[in-house]
Amino acid sequence: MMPIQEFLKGINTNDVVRRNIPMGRGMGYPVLKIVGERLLISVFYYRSILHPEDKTLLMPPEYMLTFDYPSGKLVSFENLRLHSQYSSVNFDKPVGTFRHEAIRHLNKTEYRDKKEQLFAAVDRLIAHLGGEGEFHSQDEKELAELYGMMTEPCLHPFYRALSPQFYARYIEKKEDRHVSEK
Amino acid sequence: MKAFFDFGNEFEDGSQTYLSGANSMMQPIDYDGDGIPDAIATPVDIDGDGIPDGVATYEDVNGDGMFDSIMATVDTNGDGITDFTSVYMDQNFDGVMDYSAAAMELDINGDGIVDGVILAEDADGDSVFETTQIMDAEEWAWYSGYQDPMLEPSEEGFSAGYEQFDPDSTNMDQVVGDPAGDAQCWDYQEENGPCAIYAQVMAYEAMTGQDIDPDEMIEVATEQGWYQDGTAITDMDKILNYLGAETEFGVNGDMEDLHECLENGGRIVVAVDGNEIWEGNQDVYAPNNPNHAVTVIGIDYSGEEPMVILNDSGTMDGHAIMVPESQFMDAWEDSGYSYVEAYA
Repeated sequence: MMPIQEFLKGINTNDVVRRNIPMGRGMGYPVLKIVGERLLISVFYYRSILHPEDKTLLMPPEYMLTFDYPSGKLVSFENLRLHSQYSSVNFDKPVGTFRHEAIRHLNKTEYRDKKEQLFAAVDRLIAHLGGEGEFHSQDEKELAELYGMMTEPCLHPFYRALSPQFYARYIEKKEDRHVSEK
Repeated sequence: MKAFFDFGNEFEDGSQTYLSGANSMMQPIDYDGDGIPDAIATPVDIDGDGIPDGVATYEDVNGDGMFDSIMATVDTNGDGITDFTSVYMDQNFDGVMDYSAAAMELDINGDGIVDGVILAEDADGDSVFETTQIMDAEEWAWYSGYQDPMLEPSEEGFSAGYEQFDPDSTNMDQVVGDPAGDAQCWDYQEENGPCAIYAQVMAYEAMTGQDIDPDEMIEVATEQGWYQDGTAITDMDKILNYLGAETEFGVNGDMEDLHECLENGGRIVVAVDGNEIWEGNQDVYAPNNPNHAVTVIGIDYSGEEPMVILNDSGTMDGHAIMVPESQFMDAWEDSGYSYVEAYA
């Protein structure tokens, strides 16, 4: 099974990205979708303007891409600046800053470790979906905790747009869900 | 922090009312000049002394007849200059305000001149500010999209602390390229985004001796669709081609490719993860992404480890900077070792 980090590295350096996404756009965390018999991986690319001391500005994602896993074939490419659904978004105005509250206590090593944990949990989920391993309720809980912790709250609407089902299951905080259900 | 407004039955903070009696003073605003008001402005008296000290603007952003954006601008110290802004927004137009923010101008360096903003934001509409941050003039301009003329700008740009190439302290027989000469072509880009344009301009100037205006090339690239607050990796050659240089785009490049190009009188524009070569950004929690383009102008083999010599427009000390080969290769790897060889 191809580890998700290797898959994402392949995306980052493939021709679609090289040709269509301006440098300086970073990839968000991957979101999984199952369509028919295929597992798809969706990501968005967004710009961050680096500033030290937790003042890095996060701009709205501009591109959403979906790839077939593990072949890496492009399934869809959306330039959100040209998408009517996002016409009200000001892509030149930050939506938030890095780091957000949930990860502010982590030092650089701890932050990288959490990312590794998240990707390892995603690998276990992908393996399970491919019939290669178990994915218990504890794994499910861990993955949700890691996604909830590591994803930037200001980018959550865009994660939801990538896959409402994945978002509701792994990213949306329970209290947020409760409020939105009201 | 409590909300600053009392909007009758819709929005109450339970303790303070600043807009009472203001209805008769409401002024319609017609932004688009179609004769139909798009917003309503009304005076506010935030200190409760009976004298208005600010303006609240109610706007119907989506034209459904309901206010979904409310902004108050206030002069808190009575000097005639607005120094406090508060915003409430209904971003999903469901009738409930789900975002609020308050911004206050302040003097960060204590010299008596306003030079920054403290911003508090409530991104989930629970009336509690989750984040508070202080921004200088430049950061505020980026964040708000508004260059506040009242804020004193920072005069210093970002310096990464590079060691610059010095022909007097190396064995020039061990150097390929003309880094000392090319250093004269270095330029500081001053803003985020146009690094690849600057890298191409620096490469072309180094090869031809011509003086090219980067801003003019940014205009060209924007018009042609080669630049949109950044450049796609495969567009790193477009300005060079526009200027008349011959180029060859490649991936999976290596040090040998760089060496051969320099030896043949060319220059190389490479896409890198700038964070991995900017020493000043070591504390940034950044992902591994190609986010920057630089010009390779030489390689110095005289030390234990070869040094790749770059003209980097992204930092104020970026002329002929010396980056150890291993560090450079790590930074270059994130673009899949993408590069453009250029020849005049």
